Amino acid sequence: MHDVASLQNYLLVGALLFGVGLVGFIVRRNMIVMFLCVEMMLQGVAVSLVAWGRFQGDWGGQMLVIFAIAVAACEAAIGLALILALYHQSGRLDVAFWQDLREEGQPAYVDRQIPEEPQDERAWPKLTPAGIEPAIDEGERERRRHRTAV
Amino acid sequence: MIAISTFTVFSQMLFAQTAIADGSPGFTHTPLFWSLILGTFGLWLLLPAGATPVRAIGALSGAFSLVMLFLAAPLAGWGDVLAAGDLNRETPALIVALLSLLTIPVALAAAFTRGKAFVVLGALTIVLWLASIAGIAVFKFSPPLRIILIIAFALAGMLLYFPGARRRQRAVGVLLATLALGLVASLAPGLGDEVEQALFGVLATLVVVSAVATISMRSPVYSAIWFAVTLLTTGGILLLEGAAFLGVATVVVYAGAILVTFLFVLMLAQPEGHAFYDRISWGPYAVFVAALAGAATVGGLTYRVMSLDERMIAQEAPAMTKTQDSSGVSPAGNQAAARLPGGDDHMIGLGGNLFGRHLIAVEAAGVLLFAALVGAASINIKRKEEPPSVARSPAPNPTSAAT
Repeated sequence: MHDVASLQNYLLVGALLFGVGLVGFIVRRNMIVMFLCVEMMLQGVAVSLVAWGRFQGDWGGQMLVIFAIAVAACEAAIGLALILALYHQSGRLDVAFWQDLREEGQPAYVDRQIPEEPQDERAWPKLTPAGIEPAIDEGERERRRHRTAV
Repeated sequence: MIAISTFTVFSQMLFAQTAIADGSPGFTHTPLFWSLILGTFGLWLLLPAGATPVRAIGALSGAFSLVMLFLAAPLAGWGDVLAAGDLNRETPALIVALLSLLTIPVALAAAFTRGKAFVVLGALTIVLWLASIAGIAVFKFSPPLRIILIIAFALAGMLLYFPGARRRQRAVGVLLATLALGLVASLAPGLGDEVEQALFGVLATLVVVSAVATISMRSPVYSAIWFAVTLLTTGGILLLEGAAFLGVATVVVYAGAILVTFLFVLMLAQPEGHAFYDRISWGPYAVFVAALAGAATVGGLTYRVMSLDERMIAQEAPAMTKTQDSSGVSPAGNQAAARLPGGDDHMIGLGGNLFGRHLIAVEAAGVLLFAALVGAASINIKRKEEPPSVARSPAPNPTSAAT
């Protein structure tokens, strides 16, 4: 593959990751998912940086990504602690709960119509049973009976 | 704010278009443009705010746009192939049509399994492999037999190993998959051009698909799991880019540590059942505007990227630059200086650079990590002597004892 073409491909992927993360950050209301989207944007930037570094034959791109990972780790720790504190105050992860921090004169956002939860999503996923159930011998049965009695 | 950013990006795009318009074909005639429109539409319908059939339409159009988008890059370089005179002018359109037909099996798989995500992902992977091989065969006019064998083996192995298969079938499946792995390993030493391209196609599509799944899943737990898939495939892409350490670091640090922290907090803070705010987000209008803004961003970025070729060549012509061919078989020229070392020298170079030139930054990062540790701990410490604070909680808080 030609070098410029390869660079273009990697930059394309980086841009897509960044864009998808941006959309997710704007759209979602769950604070943790918003945080995930920010991390996704960071990933997009990392892909682009490494691609440019490879193209230019320079270590700078990779260095920057290494420090970005370190900062992202810090950010995740602090951010999640803050999210947990907010959750303890409000009881939910909804970012719209905190809209009374908005600027003066702004209208409040009100949920117009909450759709019903689809029927197939109300059931939680189950694990398929795996392995063989061991045969229960006399001693084990005795122990279980004892435990239920206590 | 969203509207302003959208407007800015659009105006930038228009400016770029008028600036480079002379000589190059119009932006509206490229597959990039149409894939962006389709992708916006698909994302709008896919994001949580719509009903399930609407989301299915969104997924389909999103997949179609993805195919077109990845074709945009090879098609941008199609002029050279045309100039060589081997192919005629209709060939790109033909390839687009053929590849878009390939999305049909994925849709069928989704319909038959009623949307079991990983089955769909598997089908998508297989189709992508086939598509990339077909693309390479068209480009190179020589079917790489070994790769076809690998794909056949891997495909059969996957099918036979599927849950629900009998034990003997599974054994055969494992055998075939091992064969495929061996063949891949036999290719590995000089990771050829075709293999790199095929790997890139598969990885890139998986990245984008799982990223879209991350933001469109209604349950945040599924979002986190899809994000793990994104991270793993991003690690693969970084490996392909020759950043071996970063690929491993992404998997270890992100997928291993950060994502597990996310899941931990999610489990700690997950209310009973699914929350309503994951189903509605901000409503369809806001979702549409957001998708538009995202598409405008990607469009602006990729339009710049796609016109990179001409600018690079124009830059290269007068003076010797640092750019060169990455294939390694290029004729020797002025290009000994600027290539990052691979293999064993990679870590030597990286470590030397990190702890030589960037030593102070490493120290600063250490201090930052420590400060973050202390900060995260101190945020959630409960002080006993404070009077009971005026909590604004509408619900009693069952998990505060856990911290």
